[in-house]
Amino acid sequence: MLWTIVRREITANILSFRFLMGLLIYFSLIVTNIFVLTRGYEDRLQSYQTAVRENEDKISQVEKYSEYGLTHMLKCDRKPKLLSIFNEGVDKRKGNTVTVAHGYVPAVAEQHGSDNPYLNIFASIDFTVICQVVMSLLALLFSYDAISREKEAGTLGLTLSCAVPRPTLLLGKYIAGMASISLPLIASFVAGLLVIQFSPYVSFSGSDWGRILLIFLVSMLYVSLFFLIGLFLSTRTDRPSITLMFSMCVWVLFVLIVPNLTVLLVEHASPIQSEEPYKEQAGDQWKQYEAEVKDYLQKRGVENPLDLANPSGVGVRSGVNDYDSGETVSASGFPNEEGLPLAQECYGFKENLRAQYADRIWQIRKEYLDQNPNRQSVLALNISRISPAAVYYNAAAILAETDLGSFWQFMEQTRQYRRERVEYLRDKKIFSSRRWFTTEFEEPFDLSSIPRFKERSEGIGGSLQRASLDIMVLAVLNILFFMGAFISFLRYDVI
Amino acid sequence: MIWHIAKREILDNLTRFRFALTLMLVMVLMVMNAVIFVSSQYPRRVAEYSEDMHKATESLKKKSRNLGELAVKGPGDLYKSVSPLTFIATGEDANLPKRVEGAHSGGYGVGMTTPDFSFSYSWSANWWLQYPQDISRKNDSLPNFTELDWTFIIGLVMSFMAILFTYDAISGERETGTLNLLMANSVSRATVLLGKFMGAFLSIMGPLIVGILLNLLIVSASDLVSLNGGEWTRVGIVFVTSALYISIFLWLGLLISSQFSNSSSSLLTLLLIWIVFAVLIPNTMGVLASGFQQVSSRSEISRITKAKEDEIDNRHKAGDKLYRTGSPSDKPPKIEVLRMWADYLNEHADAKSVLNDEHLNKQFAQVEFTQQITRLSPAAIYKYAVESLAGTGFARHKRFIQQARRYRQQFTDFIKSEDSADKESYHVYFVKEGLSQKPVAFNSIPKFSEQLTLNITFEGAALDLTLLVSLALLLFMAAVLVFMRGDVK
Repeated sequence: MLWTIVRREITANILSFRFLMGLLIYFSLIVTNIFVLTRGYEDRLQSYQTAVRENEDKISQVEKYSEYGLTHMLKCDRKPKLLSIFNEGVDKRKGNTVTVAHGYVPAVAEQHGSDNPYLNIFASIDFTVICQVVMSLLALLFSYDAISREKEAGTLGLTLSCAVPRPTLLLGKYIAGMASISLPLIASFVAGLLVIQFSPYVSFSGSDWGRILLIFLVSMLYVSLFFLIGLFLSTRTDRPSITLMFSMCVWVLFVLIVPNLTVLLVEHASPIQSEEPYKEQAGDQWKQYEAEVKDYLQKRGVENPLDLANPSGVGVRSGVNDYDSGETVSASGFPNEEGLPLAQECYGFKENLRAQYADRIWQIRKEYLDQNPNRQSVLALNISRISPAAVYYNAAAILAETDLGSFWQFMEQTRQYRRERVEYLRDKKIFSSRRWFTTEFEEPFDLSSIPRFKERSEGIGGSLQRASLDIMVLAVLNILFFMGAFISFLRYDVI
Repeated sequence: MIWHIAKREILDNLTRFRFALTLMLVMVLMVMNAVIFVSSQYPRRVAEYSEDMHKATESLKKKSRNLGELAVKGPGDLYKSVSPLTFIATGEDANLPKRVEGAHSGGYGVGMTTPDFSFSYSWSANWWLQYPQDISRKNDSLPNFTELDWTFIIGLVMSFMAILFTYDAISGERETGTLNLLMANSVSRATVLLGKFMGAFLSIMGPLIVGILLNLLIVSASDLVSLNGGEWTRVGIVFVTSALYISIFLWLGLLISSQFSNSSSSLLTLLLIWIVFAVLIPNTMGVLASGFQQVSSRSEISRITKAKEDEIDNRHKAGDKLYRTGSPSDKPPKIEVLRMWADYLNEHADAKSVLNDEHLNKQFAQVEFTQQITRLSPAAIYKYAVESLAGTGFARHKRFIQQARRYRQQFTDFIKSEDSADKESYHVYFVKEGLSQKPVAFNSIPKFSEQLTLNITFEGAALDLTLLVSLALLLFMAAVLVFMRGDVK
């Protein structure tokens, strides 16, 4: 019996005008969008590769180790996420390159690449947003009149006068409706994947396919939720026109207004405090560092590490900004070579201490970040979960590794990398080597063994675990609305 | 007769759910917009602006103790002022930089002892106009969102409501068969259509006016915001523009509605048109445009700049030419040394300035190109028009940059005229030691200020307003024509 109903409904849907329009619009939207975003991805990939190359060039240009401290600081570049084609998340917005040195603890990322930051005033749209906005509307349009129109037309009474149980009828309508919405979705999704396959730069790995499948399933869950909301509203009213208005109201509220409003409210009700006190605290620390270095030098009887060696040419570039500091020294021509060991010891002390202070100052900065921007972002994310549209977007972003959490993991990895680098420099006693400030003496100088940065992906299991809360919310809402529709249809007055 | 039909439509609408929905939605959103604006958004931005201005003034005062130093270090940060009409259109201001930097960056020092000569000098590069990308938005990890300003409420929500008010105007009457009955009377089709339009227009403008009045009431009741005559006029023009914009969607609704004989088909078609024109086109064009018009990347620019600077360095430093003759910090300095150093420093600053300006111009051209394509969507046209009127958004930012560049010239001219008044100065532009070392009267330094008159804003909005009017006329004619020739059954 169920299949008769499903078949009948599907036939009716497919022949309907809305199906044709839906297919047309959806297909063209998704295919063009994926095409455009694939191009964008290729661009970003290219600029990533350029950045990596430039970084290697920079490493090979280094002549003295102290250049790592300021003039030739190394970069950690983040590869653009392949699945940002489906969900851009923060992948484009947050930076993707990070500067690392023993006096620089990475906390924010900058943007490399061929971007024009002024284009950020235009919002952009990806597959997930199309699902979020268009697909949810389409789902409502397929379901709002499922029950109430049959009542208005009088066919509901007729159908139920046969031996059709109400649950079967409702289930049949649900299955048929979902099948007819999925058809355009699957067709355009597959076409989009084909478009991506034409790109020479993109090839999906096994885990990428797994993620794509998961994103698709989550999208179906979201679409199904809106279908059920429509079905539920349809069982609450007698006239399709009223159901329609209610559904539109729900849609405008949850898709257009709530996600924007929550962020706006959080930004104004829970603002970020000024960063100045933290910067001052960090500045004080750097002053303390300078004083400690000065003390040490005085104890050693010099004003400058190189005083005793007395080189004929010295170039010093030093820089302190709020949280970081660094220095590049270059010296040449040593009339008094006996002064060199002292200079080495002094630099060894100074740079070791700098690394320690940088660690300490990072704690101050971390406190600011945790209590201000990061707290605010998490708060906004949590509150926006009132709207299923936001829940869905977040789940898809986690699965595409373009969410904020995944960005934070990247930043943590860059800090981990810095620690490794500092360990390496200490182990090899590079801070106190002659090569730190001069090239005039033969010393082992090996740039290739310096650790390089490589981002580690958290793996599909980890992503799924982080996305599980959002997926659960969607699933529970699905069940709730199905039960709601079910109960109110059982009590529905059919005539 | 038109009024008769319009009245009937209005009365019908008043009892409908969509009317209550519109009224509620508009009121809530408009009140929320005003409350957020007066309670936090505006005061915070004004406070930030005045704090920035305060800092800038202080640092300018410090520099004015010595003309030579002021000439080299430049006027400092120039800030974009906050428009009091931000509640009408935020114009993505949070995603645009709030300042340009008229400052130098980087200090240099050279110390050298060779058998022939010894040289030491430390200097800072001459200032040039820089365009830092730091946006005024504090937290870039927050999800992207649309501010709930008038352009959102009217541009998106009200256009949606306009469709809900008209989708069944003709097709619904066809469905129930009343269109036949209506046309059997001695009314012309044009009259019926106009009446329907007037009815829908008035019933949607009612809630909107209530919302806007509430909004303006809250805004003007706050003592922080005081709008002057020009600003009130601009609010008035924004209101007329909004009415025009809504009527575009009403005519579109009537046009599509008269094509269909069942109201759900006309609704579906309209919703899809709305999604494409009001949601998708304004949001997909940014990505598209960057594909059409390439702008060189930042690393490319810094490479070019570095190459240019190396070239200048090599030319001037060949054979230690620059160091051999003496240092500008010698007392008294040799005039030819000053000239040489001034040339060297100016060349650097000019090269950086030219490259920077060119790069920014290219970026702006790309944004403008994107805006041109986005104008396919009436929602975008409306947004740009209102932004121009409110003095926010990209157009305003571009004007800000232009005025900052004009100020650059003004500032340089001031330094020169001030310097020529000092007889002890060597009049060598721009090396610190070659200029007057006297303090400058702080008040005589020209200050940066933006001019924003009604005329300028209106000029900026003219294109978009014309487009909106033409679009409304076009849809009006199309709707009348189609309805005249259509079938009443």
